[in-house]
Amino acid sequence: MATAAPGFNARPPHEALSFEGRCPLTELTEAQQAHLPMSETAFYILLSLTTSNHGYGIMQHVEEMTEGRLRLGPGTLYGTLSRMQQDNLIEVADEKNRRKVYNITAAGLRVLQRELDRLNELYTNGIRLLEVINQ
Amino acid sequence: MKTNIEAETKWCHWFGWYTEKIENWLETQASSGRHVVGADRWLNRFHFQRGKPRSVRFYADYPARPDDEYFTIFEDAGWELIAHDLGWYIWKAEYEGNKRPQAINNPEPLMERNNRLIMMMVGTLIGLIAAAFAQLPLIMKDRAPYLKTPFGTVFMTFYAIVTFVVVWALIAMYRQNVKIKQRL
Repeated sequence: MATAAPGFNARPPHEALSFEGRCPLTELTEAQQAHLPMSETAFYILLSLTTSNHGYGIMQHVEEMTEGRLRLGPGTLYGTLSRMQQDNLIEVADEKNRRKVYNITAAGLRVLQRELDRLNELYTNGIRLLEVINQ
Repeated sequence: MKTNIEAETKWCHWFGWYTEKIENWLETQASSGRHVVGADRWLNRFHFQRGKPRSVRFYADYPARPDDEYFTIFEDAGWELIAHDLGWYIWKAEYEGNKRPQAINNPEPLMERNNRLIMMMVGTLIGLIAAAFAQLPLIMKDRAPYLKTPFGTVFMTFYAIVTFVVVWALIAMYRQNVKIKQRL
């Protein structure tokens, strides 16, 4: 198995990484909106690309973030990366040793923001209602 | 030079909408000490070498346009390509302890694969129907005597079988996609 190229995870986060308020859906194309709501695997792949990484590096990063719970299958990873690249949610920043290094795009960040808003709403409502039940 | 490696060849017929059959069959072969080293005849004939029984997972994939990245991602993840033909790629990966390797985490890639196959089958069916319609005026004016010869009979039988298989495949893949959607 390949090891992650040194320095990929040490790079600073994507320059455009700033979430300011809710992102209007109108800023996204129909193809980009079709990624919402996101599957767990797609969410983690996109989240992982807030720092430049290659395919195997993404696999390792996601496994690390989820403490070994989620191990991305290569079929799922390749398909998701291809779709995201086609819909301009990610872009190829570099290519080293037959490995593409990906970066999230501004549109990818907007999609990620929308999904985080949705997850936050789920979490907030869930906690609020459970607190009422527990009182 | 003589080797102690025993070679064996086996056939297994499978269809693109039911890849679990070939994947599970190859896994069973590996667990009984038959390790696939290659395949031919449209990936229906498999060549094995005898060895110690091992736990190996197989995955039959039909990617859209596989580039270098496709192979690199699979190989980096520990998968080895054992054979490919007609756009199909068969991969294998050894178990890690008792953990069965997963090539996909969710059924969406299977639906996408089926959709690609459905498009291909629809194209084939359109071609078959167009060929039949092209012959229709000749048949109606009795200007296709070749169809009444033994060759014509064989050709018509072959045409009917191919059309039946394509329609059957379309229905099978559509039904599988419906099942996958219900599970999502």
